[in-house]
Amino acid sequence: MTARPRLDDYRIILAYSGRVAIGLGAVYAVPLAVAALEGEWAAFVDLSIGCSASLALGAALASLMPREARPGWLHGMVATAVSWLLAMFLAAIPYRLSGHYASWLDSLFDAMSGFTTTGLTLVQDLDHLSRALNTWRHVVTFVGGQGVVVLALSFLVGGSRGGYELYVGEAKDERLFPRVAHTAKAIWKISAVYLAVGVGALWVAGLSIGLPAKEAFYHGAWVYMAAWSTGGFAPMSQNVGYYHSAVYELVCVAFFLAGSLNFALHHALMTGNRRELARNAEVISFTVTFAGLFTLAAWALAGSGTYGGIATLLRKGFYHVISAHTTTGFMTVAARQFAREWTPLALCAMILAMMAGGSACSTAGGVKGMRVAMLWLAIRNEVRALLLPSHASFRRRIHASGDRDLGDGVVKGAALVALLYVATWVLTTMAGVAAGYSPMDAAFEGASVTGNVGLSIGVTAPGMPAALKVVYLLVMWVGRLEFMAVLALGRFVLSAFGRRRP
Amino acid sequence: MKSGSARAAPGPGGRLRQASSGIATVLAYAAALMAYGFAACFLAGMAGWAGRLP
Repeated sequence: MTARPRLDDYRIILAYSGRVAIGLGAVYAVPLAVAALEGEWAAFVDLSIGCSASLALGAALASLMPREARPGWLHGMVATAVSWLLAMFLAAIPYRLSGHYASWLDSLFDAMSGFTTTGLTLVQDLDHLSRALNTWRHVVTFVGGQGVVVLALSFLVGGSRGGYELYVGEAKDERLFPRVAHTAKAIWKISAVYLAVGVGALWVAGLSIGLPAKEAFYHGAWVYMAAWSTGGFAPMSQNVGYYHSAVYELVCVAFFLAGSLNFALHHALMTGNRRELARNAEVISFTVTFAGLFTLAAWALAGSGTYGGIATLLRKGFYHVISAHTTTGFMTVAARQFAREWTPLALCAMILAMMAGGSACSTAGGVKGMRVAMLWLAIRNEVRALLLPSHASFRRRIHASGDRDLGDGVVKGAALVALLYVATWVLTTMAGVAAGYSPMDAAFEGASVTGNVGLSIGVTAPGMPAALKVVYLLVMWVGRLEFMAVLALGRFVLSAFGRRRP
Repeated sequence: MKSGSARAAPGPGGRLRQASSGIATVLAYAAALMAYGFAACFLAGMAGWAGRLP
């Protein structure tokens, strides 16, 4: 599909996107059940409209699949990029109808922020949102963490052709099983196991701080879904600070850290290979970068006297640096406190942590620990090659759920994606500065958007310029899909205007 | 298990044990990072406090 696309190319792409829309329609069952249970009939109607639109449009698009479909790489990549945009529009319907968003753009922004597990929000009067809509916001981020395509692969695409291309398009390349549908199901099983444990732990933590049993359950479920997905949404406007509980914060850390680990690592650990944790290059990379950046931030915060005691420094400093590095975005301080109370050095450490991100094939965003490890090893190998005799040979492999060759092509791919992340962050920062924000504020928020983190220094608000909302929305989408699927879509659109195929 | 034979798949109880063990390993890793965080805060706090002495 290098020349002008044929009708069948469009039909394959739209049909795959339709299957994703059907999957999304099925997921609407969760908030609809909550609305029915709680008697929130206004929310029930809003959600029903979104659900019906997803199922009807999905069925119509899925019926377009040609009989002799031969999906290729470009189909899979383009379908993934289109599916995420389609999912954003379909998930935003109940947001807009609820009256809690000032415009369609704000609703779309929140839907994309949820799916990409960013966690920045433009919702208004969050503290009085219905339980059903709060559930929908968190289900969207939970599905986004696993991947909307993974959802479709698990239940709808199955063993049909093109599944692997879709899976890779969503920036996941680990195959836990030979069949990609089995891999997708394994990802959901791991998430389901953690769901049971996480909701239970947060429910108990909620009870311990005095929440009524039902309220503790809802908050536990919402916060767990946002934590595991490294999403950063919370049911209250004060985010996790609402709970005023060190225990609640610690439980959150455990689950968002777990969410930022590679699904292949979880699979290895859950099948008896516990030693993998200590050998895994991504875990080592994350541990080293986190330790370095947190030490820097702690030193900067302690030196400035921002937090008086060691306990406060740990609770505020540690919590936000690990929230940034896992790209979660949970906060226990107000957004403007970063600008007013944190020193520039501490903010620089936060920006680097947000850009570095979590693990590949996890719910996290950012450059990813795997690429950081690859680039570090490649630099080390280059230096060794310079210093050692020309006939000396050394190991060019990296261990992450199995040994992998660290060939030039692999290193080039990692460097390219890292470069694209940095370039996108620079452009997003420039957009923020052009919109009138200070360079530090724009850089912080730009890193948060590019790395799909969700921490805010106060730029993201309903009153921000509409053009900047559009820039942030697009950057969240591009960053989550790690550029390739969106670049493939761009090439597809350009080729549609190219010469006709002979 | 004989040499060359496939390892038997664990039963439901075995799978539950393995899953619990996997989660416990991740939680232990989280606890180790928190312990490092405490140590770093302690040292940074002491250094910061010493730095602000008249």
